[in-house]
Amino acid sequence: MKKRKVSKIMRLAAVVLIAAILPMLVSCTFNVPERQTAPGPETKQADGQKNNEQGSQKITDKIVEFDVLIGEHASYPVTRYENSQFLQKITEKTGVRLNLIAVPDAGDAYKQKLNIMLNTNDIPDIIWTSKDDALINSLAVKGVFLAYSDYLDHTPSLKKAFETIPDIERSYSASDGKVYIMPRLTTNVMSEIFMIREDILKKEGLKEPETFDEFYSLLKTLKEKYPDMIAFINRNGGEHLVNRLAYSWGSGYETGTYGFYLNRDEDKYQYGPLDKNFKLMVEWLKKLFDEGILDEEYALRTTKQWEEEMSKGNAIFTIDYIDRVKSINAAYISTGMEARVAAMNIPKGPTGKSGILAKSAVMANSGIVISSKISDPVVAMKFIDWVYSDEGRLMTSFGIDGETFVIDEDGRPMLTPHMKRQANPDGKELVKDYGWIYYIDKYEFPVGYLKDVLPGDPVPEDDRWMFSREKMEQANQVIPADPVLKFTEQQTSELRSKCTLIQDYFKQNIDKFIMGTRPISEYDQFVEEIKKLGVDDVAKIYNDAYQEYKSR
Amino acid sequence: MKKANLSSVLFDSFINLILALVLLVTLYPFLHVASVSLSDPYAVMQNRVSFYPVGFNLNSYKSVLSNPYIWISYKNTIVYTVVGTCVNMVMTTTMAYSLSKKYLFGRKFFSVFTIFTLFFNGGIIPNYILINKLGLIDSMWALILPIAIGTWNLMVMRTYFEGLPSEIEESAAIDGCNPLQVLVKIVLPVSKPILATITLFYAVWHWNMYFSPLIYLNDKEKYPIQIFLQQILITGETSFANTVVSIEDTHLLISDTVKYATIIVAILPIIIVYPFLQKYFIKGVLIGSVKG
Repeated sequence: MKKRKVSKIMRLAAVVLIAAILPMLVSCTFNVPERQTAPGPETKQADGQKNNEQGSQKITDKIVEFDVLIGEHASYPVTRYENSQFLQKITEKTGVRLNLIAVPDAGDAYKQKLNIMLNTNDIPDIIWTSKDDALINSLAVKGVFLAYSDYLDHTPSLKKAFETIPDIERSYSASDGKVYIMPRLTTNVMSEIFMIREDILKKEGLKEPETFDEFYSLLKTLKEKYPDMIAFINRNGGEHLVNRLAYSWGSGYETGTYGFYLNRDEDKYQYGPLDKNFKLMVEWLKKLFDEGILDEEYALRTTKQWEEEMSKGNAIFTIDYIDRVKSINAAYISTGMEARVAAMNIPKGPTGKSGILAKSAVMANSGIVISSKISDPVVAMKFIDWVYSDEGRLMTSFGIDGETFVIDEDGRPMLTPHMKRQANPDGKELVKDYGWIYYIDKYEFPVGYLKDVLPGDPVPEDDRWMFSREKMEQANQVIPADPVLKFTEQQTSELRSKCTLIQDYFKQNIDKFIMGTRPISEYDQFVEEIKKLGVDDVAKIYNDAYQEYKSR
Repeated sequence: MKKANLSSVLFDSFINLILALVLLVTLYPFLHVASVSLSDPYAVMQNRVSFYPVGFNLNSYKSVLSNPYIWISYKNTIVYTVVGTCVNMVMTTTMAYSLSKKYLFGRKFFSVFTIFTLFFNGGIIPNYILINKLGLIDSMWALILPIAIGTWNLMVMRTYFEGLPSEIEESAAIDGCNPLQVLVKIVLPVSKPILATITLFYAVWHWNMYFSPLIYLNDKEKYPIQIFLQQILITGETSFANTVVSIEDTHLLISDTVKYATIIVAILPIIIVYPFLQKYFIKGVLIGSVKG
């Protein structure tokens, strides 16, 4: 009796739920606007205007306004148009006025707002940070966004980028083969490095190791001399260790693809932990752990604890992001310590390889998307083209020519004397004083391209960050990233369901093997167990997607 | 006067000791946040700061206070809270009073209709479409009108009104009051505790609002303090796992000293006001409980 009543309530609840959800579903299948492919007559007019201008390449004479959704980083507050010399200068140069809708790029805030805008079809003229490329592309084929491929006649700079960087089309085109997202192009792709206490190496007169055996004996010697220090510290758990070491050991483990990686010798995707060399690496790590060389808390250490030990000078070696060289050394300098960290060349593994995978030069989830409801598609396209052009690149990266930077005799930009830099800490700031917008540049210049030490400035202390960069580059140890693959919706859901299981199972076991709670003799058994979770099926999906990528 | 014997002195000092410990435990987080905000960032990185500042300086406060948006968003929050709470109180009181009358036509229907929203709602997307079609996007009214009545608060208030003896209202009516006068002149003055409590609940609700302003407002100058706080506090918390591009540029990290200074600036006014409001909170907890 009671049970029946409950089920009746449940049925009622279900009906009500459906009634509540239905309008949501309906709202997702909104009216699809007509695709605007053929550029209208206003194009010719705009071209005509361009020819009339002498020298300047203004896109439009009449000021055109666009609403732009852009992420805002807390360190770089977005300034209103009225107070931003930078945005006003863009209008002066191009005739386009950007009204920025700045949404905090912290946590999920930006993504939530963007998702709601996309799902309710209340889309701003331009989305400056695409954030969810898969969703954008799935809407794009329904005609919600403009395809860059349709306007290439108007956009010489984009055309050039498409030709020189084939990955734009290979990785970001939608299922109809057109490109709707103009991705951010970056040159600063270095991710992590082997970071060692340079001062200790120098003091002990020790050489950098050539192989992982030598590396082991180096760390062992140091551990004996400095028993109170952590010889090899690590954060982000065991997965991080194998991720950064696997390439040098002749295997691979990419976290973005759940441990699968592109084997460049055989030109196919495979699952790292199944490799023989992967097992050798785990045995090596176990040896380090057993002898107290690898931090006994390596699996659990948080970023805060890692920072603490590093900046107090309690650790000798770590693998971490290159930018940390700056902050750790700054901590040493400010507390008057002799200690310094810098990059060490990565030892060679059993197959003679050494290196760490870089980030992709074509950045995912941070491209520009144009709504197809935009008032003036051609002007918008030309404006985006300007952002990727030589002039636009300089301006969006470094501010106003002649005001915040000048081009010196080698043709490189150099800060003007009144700008803030090491020698002039009270100088004017790009964001604060000129209203420059962070995240607006989409085509990065190489690191150090802007000269920030002017003639006459005191020469700063050796930049170990720059030194580390050059060292890694000279040793060819920055390995190009695996390609960004595209998946169908069915593939994505299969990947998601199988890969989380595989990844979780791997994470549970890798630390057991390194710490010895599961004997290493059971590794082959572990391989069989993890294969049962569908490793072969997943590898097939990755390889299918890779073939698709190559065929473009 | 009772003479204190040894055991009661011991007992009292034991109680005091425990209370002192509890005080310490609750005070420590505040103390820590305050000391970190006043310390040298590198001392914080090396974890040398606990009870008192190390390398005392005010740089983090300088950088927080020089940001005009903390004041703009503060002002916005106060405006939304004051206006929003006024609207809430007018709407809630009038509706609760009508629903408390047994002779109201369709009373049951309206009650069920309202309670229904406590369990089911359209969801974010239909709400957004509605607000958009009403032309309220990027306006403060998008944060006030859709939540003009909080169902739960309405129910509490209705229950309170139902408990009032109907005789006083009847005698007021005999003396010539119309229903509105009865409400304003007779019922509200005897309902001050519930009004204070519900006002507080609404005010806190508006003060803490984060998600609605995030999705409904577009102009940065209209953002409330919670969005500002979220942005400062969460920035730089990147996770390592499953990112195709993992970036960690140090110039994108915000130092803990600045984060903590922001927290202090944001919570200080509330901390100052809180002791004066506390008694109403306690009253609020008791409302609805059996008295007797």
